Amino acid sequence: MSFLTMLRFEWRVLRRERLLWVAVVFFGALGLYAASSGARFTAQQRLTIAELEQAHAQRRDSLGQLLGRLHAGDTSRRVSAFADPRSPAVVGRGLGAPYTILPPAALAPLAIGQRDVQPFWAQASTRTKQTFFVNDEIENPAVLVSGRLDLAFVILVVYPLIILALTFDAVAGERERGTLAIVLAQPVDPRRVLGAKLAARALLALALALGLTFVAVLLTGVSLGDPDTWLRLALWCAVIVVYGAFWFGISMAVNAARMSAAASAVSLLAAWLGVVVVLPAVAAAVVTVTHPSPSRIALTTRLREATDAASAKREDAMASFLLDHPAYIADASGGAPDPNVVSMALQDAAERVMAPEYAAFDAALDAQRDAAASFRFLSPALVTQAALLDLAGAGEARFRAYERQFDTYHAEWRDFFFSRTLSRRSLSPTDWDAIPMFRFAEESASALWRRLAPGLGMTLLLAMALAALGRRGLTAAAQAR
Amino acid sequence: MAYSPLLEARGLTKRYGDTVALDALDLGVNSGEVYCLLGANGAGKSTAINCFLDFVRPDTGSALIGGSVVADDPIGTKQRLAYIPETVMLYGNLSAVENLEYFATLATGTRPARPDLLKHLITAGLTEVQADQRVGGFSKGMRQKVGIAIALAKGADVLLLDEPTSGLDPKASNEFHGLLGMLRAHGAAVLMATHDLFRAKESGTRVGIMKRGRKVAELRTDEIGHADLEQLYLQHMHD
Amino acid sequence: MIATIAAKEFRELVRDGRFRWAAVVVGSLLIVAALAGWTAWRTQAQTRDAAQSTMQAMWFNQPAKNPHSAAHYGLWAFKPQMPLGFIDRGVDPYTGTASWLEAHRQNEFRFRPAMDATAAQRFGEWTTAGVLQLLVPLLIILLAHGAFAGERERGTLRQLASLGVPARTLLIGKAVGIGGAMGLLLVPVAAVGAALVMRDSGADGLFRLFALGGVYFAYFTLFLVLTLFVSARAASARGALIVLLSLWAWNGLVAPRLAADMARGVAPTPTARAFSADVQRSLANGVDGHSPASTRNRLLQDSLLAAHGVSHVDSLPFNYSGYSMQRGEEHANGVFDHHFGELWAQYAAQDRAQLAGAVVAPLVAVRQLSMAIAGTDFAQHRAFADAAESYRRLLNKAMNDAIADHAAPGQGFSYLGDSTLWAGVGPFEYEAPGLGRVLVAQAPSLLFVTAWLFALVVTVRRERRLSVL
Repeated sequence: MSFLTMLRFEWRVLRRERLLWVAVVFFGALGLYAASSGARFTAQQRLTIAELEQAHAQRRDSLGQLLGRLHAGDTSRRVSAFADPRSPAVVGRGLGAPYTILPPAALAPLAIGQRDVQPFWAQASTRTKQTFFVNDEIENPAVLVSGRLDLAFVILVVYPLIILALTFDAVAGERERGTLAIVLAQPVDPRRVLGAKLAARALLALALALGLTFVAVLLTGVSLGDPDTWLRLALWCAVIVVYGAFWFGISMAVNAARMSAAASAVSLLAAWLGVVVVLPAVAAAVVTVTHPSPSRIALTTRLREATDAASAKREDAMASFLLDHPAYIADASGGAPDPNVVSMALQDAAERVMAPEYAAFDAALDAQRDAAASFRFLSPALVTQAALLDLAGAGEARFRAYERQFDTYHAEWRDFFFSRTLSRRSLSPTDWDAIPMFRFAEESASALWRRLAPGLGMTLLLAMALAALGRRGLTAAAQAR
Repeated sequence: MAYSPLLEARGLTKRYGDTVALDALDLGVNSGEVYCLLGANGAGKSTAINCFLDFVRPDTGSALIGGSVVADDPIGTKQRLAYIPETVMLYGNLSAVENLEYFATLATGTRPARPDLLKHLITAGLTEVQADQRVGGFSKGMRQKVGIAIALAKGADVLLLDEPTSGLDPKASNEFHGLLGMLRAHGAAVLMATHDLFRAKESGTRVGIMKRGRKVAELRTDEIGHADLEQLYLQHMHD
Repeated sequence: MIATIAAKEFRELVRDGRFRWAAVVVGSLLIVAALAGWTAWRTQAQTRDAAQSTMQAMWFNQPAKNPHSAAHYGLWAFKPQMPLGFIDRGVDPYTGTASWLEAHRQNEFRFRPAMDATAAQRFGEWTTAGVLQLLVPLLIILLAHGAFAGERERGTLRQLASLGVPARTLLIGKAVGIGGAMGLLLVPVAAVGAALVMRDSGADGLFRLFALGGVYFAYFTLFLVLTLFVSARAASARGALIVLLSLWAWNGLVAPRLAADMARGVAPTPTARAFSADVQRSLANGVDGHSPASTRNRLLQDSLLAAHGVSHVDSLPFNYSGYSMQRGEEHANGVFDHHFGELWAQYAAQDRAQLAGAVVAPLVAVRQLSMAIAGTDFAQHRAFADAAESYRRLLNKAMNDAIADHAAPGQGFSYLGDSTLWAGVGPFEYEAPGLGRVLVAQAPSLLFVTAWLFALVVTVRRERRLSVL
């Protein structure tokens, strides 16, 4: 008798169980709601981005026109020194500066992840880097505390529960109801019958999870034009399969342990708690203790101290700055120094003091993120979470890439405006068009795959080991009494 | 014996710790025979039947079906046997036909057609209406009939019955033994554990009395009367 | 008789290997969470206190400068740590921890700790409150789901019923026995918590801990009664377990998120960008949108000149720059009050909508209470934000008044203030709302928890017969 036939029979039995339908309806409804929640969140981000881009385009145009007129010698309108598009210092500090945007990734509606606490846009400026990522999205903290209901959460937490609820008594239930004896009186390999029973149920849960993903993708307007998106979607499905296989393996091993249905339910629940709750808690606790978040409060205090110190020794700061920038001296023929250059010098002096502090801060943050990344191997749930969030662009990796790209861009921006401020060149319409722009470069799916592979491999290995253990035990479990 | 019996126990022994469940049990059941195992609770009747099903592995000795050792070929030997315990447990959510379809497919590897399944159920004594009802509400006797239908569907010629008539009302019990007679007439070998001396005398061809895992007596039912069988049984129990 | 039943139940549980294991796991998670939380809490509290006094000192030690520059220099207000913050961090990871108090602007709070944590930490991090809210109820379910259903399956329930033990006595006895076993686990944990709180926060902390203990006691009682009720009704221990676990997952995992998400829909908040654009627009054109800054300035000037009978602002008896800056500041304050007021009203509406979720999941109310008592709910964050904002306004007014009163006409920006002026403002001090006020504000949540308990008790009391079959 083929495995497929057995699956079909099992499906027939299963189809008439109320528990199944309760589980299907609950899981489906929750999944759909979660998908719509992710879609709404993403739509709002996209709306903000569109507004930002529109606002910037308008301001850029009007300032560009003003610049053109001023350049052509039109002096009919007085322009405040703080709004003069000709001044590289003023424009560099942010007048009409473009937004550096981290757009939602292609699969963003599938996971909100950390996106609700990460800023996704900033405005370019020559100011110190610490003043940037402050554009926190407005969100009721009481709502943030509850955590987001996104598809990734449903897959991570509820999907295993559904697998376990469907499979926990596949063997013990038959034994307790007495049907197992009749089944085993037939000339078939008990491992195959019991395997088919478990598989039918697990496949059902898998089909539900995959189906939800597809429905979510279709309903939330993920654009599927890019082959890269397809690759990510395929990886997302692979993660679901591997994670499901892991839980199937656990269920198989527990089913093989010849326990009563109640004991098997408790054991599976304990496994769920261990993998989804306790191990992540241990990982988080260890990371928090060994790699605490560096204090932004302390950093702010230090920055203020450094700025005060620099202001107090204004002449020293100026002198050492001019030493480093001889180009300026040639131009400065007496008179009071350009206040813009003074402020550059003060900023420079403060940043010199702060540079190691910033570096230490970033290093501490990176170390924390790295530690969290390596601790994910403690639990397949953490591996899966990292994978799902990365695939939907809602994890640390993408934000980190954004920060790094931002740093490069920030340096470029500064160079552009500082050099012009130093050489006392006012901005021309040509310069205006040459102002550096930011565009986030997405990580390639293959690079992403290389990052996800170890975790997925580990989970798959665990799944296979558990299934092998279960397969061996199922023969013993087949003993009717 | 001129031919080898369909069902044979050779020195079956099984111990659980200090308790001896089966002690060198020898018996053989031929085609067309109904062998009844009598004995008190815990005498080893069920253990013997479980050995034939490979639910229990004997410590020494072997159980044979059609000349093959059960422990060596647990799957092959199940092809020709049917097992009917006291309560035939079925999938309550499925109808009788669907249950039968499942077990028959498991047993034969091919999916029988519905008319065949219906025929077996009707032969076993269910009505066509009952055949399409879910078995969740079936009585013990009706379940037993489905059990017989499974035996018919797989064409079993070895029947293992573990106290099949305990708790059946007299009419159902009577019907069951009628079916048993039919199967026997078709050449089945039946091994039945029972407490019912009356039925053992009526339907059985031979009876074996067991005590603490040993077979203490064996006799043909046509050689002894009701009263004598009861006398003999009680005598052995008092020893 | 109740005592006998309770004693038997207690003895059975304490001898049960599963209970011991589960108790060890939950107990150690509780203690680890408390100690880890407390360590982090202390470090943060020290950093914060040090930073706050440094900031304040920086303000006082400013060199002589124009008061308006001083207002621009401003200072940072850092949110203090509440005594029970280590038990329930509440909204703290998601509100900023610091606000820059400067001229012209009411800044939002910055530095959300959650931003610097990883997704894995957000997912995995367990505070003591988290363990109490989710894992302890799970433990109760595991221990008590078979209390009736299991006895029924084993047939011992028939025996009890045949002895004439009333169902209610049995239920109370079992509840007391299981509760006693839970006490064995929770009382030592509470003692550790009390010791930690006493060490740093004294009596006020202890009162709060006591109130917190009361809330969780009610929550656990609720779960215990619910579990016993389901167990008494269920056909089998397995069925009881499935029903209870579903309820648990609903209460702990799904409903709170669902309630939060729906609350966002009921009272949507603007995007940060839209909000700041609105604020900018109102600052420029007034809240009514029809009084641009130039008009406001002209009107102000005209009315002042007319009132004092002079023809030029330099002839006014005070410095016009200082005066008009303060008027500008007051205009801005009105704008901030309007917009932040609207935003916070939306938050409050969301909170009410979210709390309505307590109708289907008591955890929603319990979590609200827990945060409030720990001093980490949004209302208390707002109390701090308001205090910081008042101080900012006080500071700005002092600076502008100094210019208006002491600067020579037309010399507003060359006038220098000195340390007497800086010190005249006094330090920023914040007193958190007391426990009584917090509890009054939490009346709806308290009501929800009480209603749940009441409803359960009534249902159980109506359950006269206990099916033994």
